[in-house]
Amino acid sequence: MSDYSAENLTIQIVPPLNKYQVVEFRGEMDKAGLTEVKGKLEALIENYSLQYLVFDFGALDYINSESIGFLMAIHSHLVKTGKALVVVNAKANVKDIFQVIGLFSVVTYYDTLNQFVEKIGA
Amino acid sequence: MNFFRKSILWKVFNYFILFTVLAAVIVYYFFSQNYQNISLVTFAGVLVFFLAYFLLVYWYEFVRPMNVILNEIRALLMGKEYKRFFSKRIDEIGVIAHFFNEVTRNFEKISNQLREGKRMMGELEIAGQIQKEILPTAAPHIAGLDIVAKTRPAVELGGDNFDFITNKDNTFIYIGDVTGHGVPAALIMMMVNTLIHTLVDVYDSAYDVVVQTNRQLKARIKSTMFMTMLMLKWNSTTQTMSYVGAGHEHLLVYRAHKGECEDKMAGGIALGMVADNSKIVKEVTLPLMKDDVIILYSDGLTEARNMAGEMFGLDRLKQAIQLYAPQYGPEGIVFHVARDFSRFVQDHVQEDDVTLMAIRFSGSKDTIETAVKNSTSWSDMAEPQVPAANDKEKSIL
Repeated sequence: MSDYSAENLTIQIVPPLNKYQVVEFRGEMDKAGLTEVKGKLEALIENYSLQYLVFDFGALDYINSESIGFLMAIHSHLVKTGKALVVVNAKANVKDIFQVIGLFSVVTYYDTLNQFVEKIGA
Repeated sequence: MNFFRKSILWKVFNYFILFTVLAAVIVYYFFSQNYQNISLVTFAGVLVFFLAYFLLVYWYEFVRPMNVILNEIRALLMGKEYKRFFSKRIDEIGVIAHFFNEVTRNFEKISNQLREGKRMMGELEIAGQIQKEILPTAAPHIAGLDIVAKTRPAVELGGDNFDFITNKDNTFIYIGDVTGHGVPAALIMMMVNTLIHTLVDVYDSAYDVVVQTNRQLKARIKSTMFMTMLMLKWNSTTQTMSYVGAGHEHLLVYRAHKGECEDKMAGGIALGMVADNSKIVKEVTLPLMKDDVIILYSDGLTEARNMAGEMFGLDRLKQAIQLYAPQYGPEGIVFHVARDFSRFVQDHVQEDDVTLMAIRFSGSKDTIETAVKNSTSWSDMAEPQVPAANDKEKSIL
C-alpha cells in the first residue's frame, strides 16, 4: 500500500485485487491537492491492466471543477483501453457536486465499495 | 601538475624554485670558472635580470589578466558592452573569469526572460481587454424583465461567462463557468460565446443551442476542460421563460407571492464532457409570476471561503436572496448579496471568478426598474438609490 499526500489531500493506493484496484482519497481535492497527486495517478493509469479503477471518496471533503476535469481525463483514458473508472462512497456534498456537473451520466457510481464488488461478482 | 595549476601561490612558488635553481646554476658556473671576484656591476646585472624576470612573470600571469577581467566587470556595471573570456586556466584568475562568464550569461538569460515576461503580460492585458469587451458591459433592457449582472474575474483572464442575445422575440440569457481560470479558460469562454452568438441565429430553442454548442466544443477541447452552463430563453411575446442546464449551479427562483427562494437543479451535463449531450440535457419551462426573481451565479460565489476556511455556500446565498428580494429590485439584491459576500470572505484571497445575475419578471411588457448603474463590472457596484426603509443594514451574516 502506498501513500501520497499533499497539504490537504492524501491518496492511498490499495494493492490490486482480481479485477480492480482501489484508490482512497482523504481531504480536499482542490488545485493544490490535485497538482500534488496528479503525477502519481497518471503513473498508475499509464499501464493500468485491470478491468476497473475504483476511486473511493469516502473521506474526500471537497472537489473542485479542475479535479473533476482530471477525473474525466482518467475516465477517457481508461475507456479508450476498454477499462472503466468507478466512483464509490462519496460524501453528500461531493456527490452533489458530481450530480450538478453531470458526472454520473458518464462515470459509474456506487454508494459503497461492497455494492460495486457484488455487482461485478469479484 | 593540476595541483600547481589550481593556485597562483603555487605558481609563484614554482617560479621561486625555478629562480633558485637558476641562481644556483649561475653561482656554480661562476665558481667553476674560478671567478674569484664578481664585480658589483655583474652582481647587479644578474639581480636586475631576475627582478625583471619576476616582474614580467607577475605582469603576465596576474596583472594583465586581472586588468582584462576588471575592465569587463567595469563595462558590465556601467551598462556598456562587455565580452566574455576564454581561458583554460583553472587557478584563481580562471575561476574569476568563469564566474564572470556565468554571471553575465545568467544576466542575459534573466534579462531575456524579463523581456519575454513583459511581452506576455502586455499580451495578457490585451487578451483581458478583448475578453472584457466580449462580455456585455451593461445589462440590456428587455420588455418584461429587469436584469442586473455583475462579474469579477480572479485573474486577468476569467472563465466566467455570460451574455444576453436577442433574436426577434427570443432573448437567450446564459451564464457559464469554464474549468479553472486564466488563458485556457478564457479561450474556451470566447469559443463558446462565439458559438452561441452564431447558433441563436440558426435555432429558436435553447435546447438546440446547447446541444450544438456542446457538439462543436467537444471536438475542439481536451478532455480535462469543460464548461458548465445555464441558459434561459425568454420569449417577450408570449412572456414565457424556459431553461436548459448543462451541469451548472442551481437555478434559484425567488417566488414573490410566497416570499421563498426555490432552488432547482440545473441538470444536464457540463459542455465538453461528452460528444453528444442531446439525451442528457432538456429544456424546462419555468413559470413566473409578477415580481419573481431568477438568480444565476457561478460557483466562485458559493465556494468562496472566509478566513476560517468556511464556504459561503448555497444556503447562505438563498437566505440572502430571501432577505433582500422582498425589499429591493435586481440592482439592490445584487448589491446586498455582494456586500454580504465581501463581508463573509473578508481578506481571503479570491481563488475563482465570481458572477451574479438577478432577473426580475416585472409582469408587464415594459421595463420598470432602470438600474442605477447597469454596468456588469463587480467594482462598479453602487448602492441602489431607493433602499428599503427598515432593513438597509440588515445582513444575513
